Amino acid sequence: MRAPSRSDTPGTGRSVGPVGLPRRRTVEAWLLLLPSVVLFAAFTHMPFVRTFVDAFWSTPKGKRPSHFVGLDNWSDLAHDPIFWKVLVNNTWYALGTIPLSVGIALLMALWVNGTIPGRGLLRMAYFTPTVLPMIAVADIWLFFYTPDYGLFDQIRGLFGLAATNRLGEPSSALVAVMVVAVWKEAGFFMIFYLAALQQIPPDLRDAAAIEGASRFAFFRRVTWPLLMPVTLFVLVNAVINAFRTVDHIFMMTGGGPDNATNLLLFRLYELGFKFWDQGQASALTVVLIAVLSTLALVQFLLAGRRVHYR
Amino acid sequence: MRPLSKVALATAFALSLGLGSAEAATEIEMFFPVPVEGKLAKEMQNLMERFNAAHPDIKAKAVYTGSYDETNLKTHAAIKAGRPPAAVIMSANFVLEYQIGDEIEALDPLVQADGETSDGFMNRFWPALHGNARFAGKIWAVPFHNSTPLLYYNTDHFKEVGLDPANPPKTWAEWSDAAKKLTKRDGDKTVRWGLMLPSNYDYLGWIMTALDMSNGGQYYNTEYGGEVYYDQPSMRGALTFVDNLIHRDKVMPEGVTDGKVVSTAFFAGEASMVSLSTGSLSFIRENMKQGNAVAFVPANIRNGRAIGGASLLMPKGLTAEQKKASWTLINWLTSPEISGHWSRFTGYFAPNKAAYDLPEMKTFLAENPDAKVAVDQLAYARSWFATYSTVAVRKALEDEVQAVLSGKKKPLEALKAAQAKAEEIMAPYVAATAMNLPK
Repeated sequence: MRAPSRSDTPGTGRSVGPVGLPRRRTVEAWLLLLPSVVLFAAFTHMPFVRTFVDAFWSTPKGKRPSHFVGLDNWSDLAHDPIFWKVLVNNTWYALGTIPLSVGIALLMALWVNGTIPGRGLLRMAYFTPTVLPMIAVADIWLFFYTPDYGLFDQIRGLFGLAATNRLGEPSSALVAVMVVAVWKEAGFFMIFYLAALQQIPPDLRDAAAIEGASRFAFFRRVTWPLLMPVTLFVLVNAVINAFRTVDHIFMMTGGGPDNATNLLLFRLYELGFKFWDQGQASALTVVLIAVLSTLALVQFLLAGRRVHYR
Repeated sequence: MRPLSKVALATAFALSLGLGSAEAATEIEMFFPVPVEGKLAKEMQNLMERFNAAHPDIKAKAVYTGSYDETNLKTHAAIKAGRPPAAVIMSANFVLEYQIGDEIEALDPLVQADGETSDGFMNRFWPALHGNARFAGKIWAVPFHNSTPLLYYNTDHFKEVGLDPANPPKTWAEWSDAAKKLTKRDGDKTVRWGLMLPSNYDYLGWIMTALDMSNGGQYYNTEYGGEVYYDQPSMRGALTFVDNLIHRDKVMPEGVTDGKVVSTAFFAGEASMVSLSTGSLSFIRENMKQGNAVAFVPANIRNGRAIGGASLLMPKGLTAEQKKASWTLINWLTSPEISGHWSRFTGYFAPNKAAYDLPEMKTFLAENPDAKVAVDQLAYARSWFATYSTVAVRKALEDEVQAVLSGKKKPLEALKAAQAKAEEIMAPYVAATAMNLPK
């Protein structure tokens, strides 16, 4: 993971370009790039090309080799109602978790950036969920959600309310796993906002105070625009995580009930390693990569224009 | 002596040592999963040491490969990579797919080389285990440890509502009656459920099989992996029975309940009757504070349930020596002594019938009546669900049953949808087998 381009190195984007370099330096540049190029090619690009090719071939079963099937895997995928359900689930999952986790992260960062007693402890408390492994988090929340016996139902019981089976009902299961994701992610994004807030020079606030600007006006006109590069970075990561983080699904629901919590990546695992349907799994991988690259591209093109790098 | 020849001599010596030891002992690897708890992994290593001590010509190594599913994954990968293990303890319902894929050895030639007939060999094991080990005319696997679902019930609750703990429900009528009596409500709120069944993926399929078999059915063809009968009367009855318990009688919670939640609720006294695997026997024995006992899963038309557990199989691509060594290991692990020892240690029942004739096993059963119920159930057990693409075909049913449990669908429409989905998944296999006719 890379930090956002720092605003205190202006001009770096302009002077480095292979076009203007003498030949010897171009060779040097390529040599320096070589290790990461090799790693990327071996573990990212070549597997992707291979997956793309596999998506047009049948699944080898045992000693029977695969054969070319053209678009069969793709039309099977398009005719699979579970695929569409998973796509819709993942869209809701992304729409629910991204704004919430980013919003909460910003609020928490603003809160612990101020001078309040016990600031260190509070920062640590907010960051703790990030440090825990997702599997452990899922196990803890599994207990929270347990009908009758779990934490939430014990609290509801104090008010005489009936027990709930949040993970066991299709109507509530997806929301239940989204809450876990937000709880886990928000603290991580908070760290980036906190770091960015500390970079804002105090003289801006003094100037605003002299001008008589309200706290809200200062946030809207000064803080928020200065946070834009971090927001873009956080958003890109949040989008990727919304499609990538499925560890808790394994622990909590296994994608059920009736695929209510089945997400793209989980379905991919299911097709590839539980059903041994390599062809469809490859096609789904290509879909997932296409969705992610489109989203990232749109974000950089649209949001990138509005991002204000000092 | 010149330094160079010294090196040459040393190399020759080392080489001869290496060759010598290769001749002395055949090295083999066995993959094994641990579905329940960590102490089983340690006990398996102990068994390997005993085996190697008794067989100086073989050096067997047990490689822990995670859960049943992970073991399946790693075995497929190892076979694909051309480095198959010599033996694998594989979930018994996955064996069929290895046979369909032509990835495992038929064991009949090895059995016959020992001077035994295939029938004679299989007769060492409980009849219920034959279906998942011997099919398509040959023996493909040797049962290693097995389980069935059981009915666990809280005897304190039984006494409290005037039911006789010594006389648990035997029919579905008695079962639903007991569940109604045992359910406790406080206004709209249910404070205790009469019955809970695990309904997470995998467990749900197994429980539905048990209910279907108790209702006279068996929704898969044990002879041919391209057929299922999800929408037949026995299944419609079984699923409607469950639907009624949830939505009409309200004695079972709505929605999906994970197996872990079921055992927690049973320990906490929040569920009076639960249906769980015999593999949970020792876990429940150690954790349950209130009085409890086990019984057969009640029957509507007949007593019936499917087995679970694992079998030993032998991948193709081994050398003659490895095959021989692997066969020795498989036979040793499934012998009455080892089978009985592993059964007492784990709670699974021993597949080898002769294990129960041993004095130490007789003592154990006398001391643990719940383990005896598990063995008695065997007389009514049948083969486990296995088809082409087992997990996907099973999930086709489980998705729809979960929709019924949540009140989103009615049993008949759900089962028809499950049947259609299953047929779609099996279509390529059906086209290549049963519908592959002379032109």
